[in-house]
Amino acid sequence: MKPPVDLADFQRLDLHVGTVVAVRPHPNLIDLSILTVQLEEPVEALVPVSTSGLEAGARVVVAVGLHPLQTGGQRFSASVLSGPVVAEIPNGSRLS
Amino acid sequence: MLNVSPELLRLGLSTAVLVARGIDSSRTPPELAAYRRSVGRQLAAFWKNRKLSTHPAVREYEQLHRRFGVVDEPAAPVKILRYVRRHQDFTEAGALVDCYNLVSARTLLSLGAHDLAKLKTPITLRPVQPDDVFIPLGESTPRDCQGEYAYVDPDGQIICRMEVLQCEATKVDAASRDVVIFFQGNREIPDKDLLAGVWLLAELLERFCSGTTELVGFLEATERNET
Repeated sequence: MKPPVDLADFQRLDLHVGTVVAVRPHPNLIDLSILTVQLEEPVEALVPVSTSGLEAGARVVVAVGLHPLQTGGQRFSASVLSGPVVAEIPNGSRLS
Repeated sequence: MLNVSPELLRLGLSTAVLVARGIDSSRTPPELAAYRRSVGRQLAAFWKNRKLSTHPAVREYEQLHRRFGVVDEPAAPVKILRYVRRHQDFTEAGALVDCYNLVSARTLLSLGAHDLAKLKTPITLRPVQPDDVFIPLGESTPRDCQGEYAYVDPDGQIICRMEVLQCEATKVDAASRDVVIFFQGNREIPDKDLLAGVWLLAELLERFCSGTTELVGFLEATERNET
């Protein structure tokens, strides 16, 4: 039971399918991971470590172009929204 | 900047810490006021015929309070949402507070902001100890909160009683430039929502308060046996 996301907010999201190619810990915060996700180009995405199914090779939906979030000496503009994706969708395919 | 005692971690609290520097909260941009009203209408409509008290995250706050002998003390997001449900808008509390009230109401996270110029760190979220002192926001005399949990500075000054009431000494005002915002969730609020809440507040503060922000703390709501 969560308040709805209004259509305008949802339409702002730039969603793409990609493949996780690397997972590394956040340099300072043990409960965050940094994923490298291959879209058309690789992007780095910030996620909580408890997010399941995000090992290398997993196919996920990534929101890109977010307002940059500064942490650990880096600025992140991408986060993983869901995974794994089982459909045969090429890396970088836009969903929204 | 924020340590959490093992006892509270075991109870499933989650936390995050966002530092904002160079903010200007002295005026509320019209775009923020419009956004605040829009979200207020949306949330009021959503909660109009729903009971806040049955939401799992709200129940979890209440269960946590009961473990510490506290009843009838709504967590901060519940107070905000009760107001929004009645008024279809948030209180006009200045740009900074408007921004974090919006995030709290949308995510059910509890947020508290403190003026970094007035704050001694590190802060510890832990059960209250006998020598700790709490002077609530808007008051000048100490209030007893033995047996509860709190955010406490290295000198034993309680800067926030549970996720319910902040202190007077570190309050933010229109002159505050550098602030720290503590986020608190519980095991019924997904960790991705905690990160999303941090992300949303960082965006709002940078857009509407002209500041820069940095995420410096993040602890998930997991069962832990030790820190």
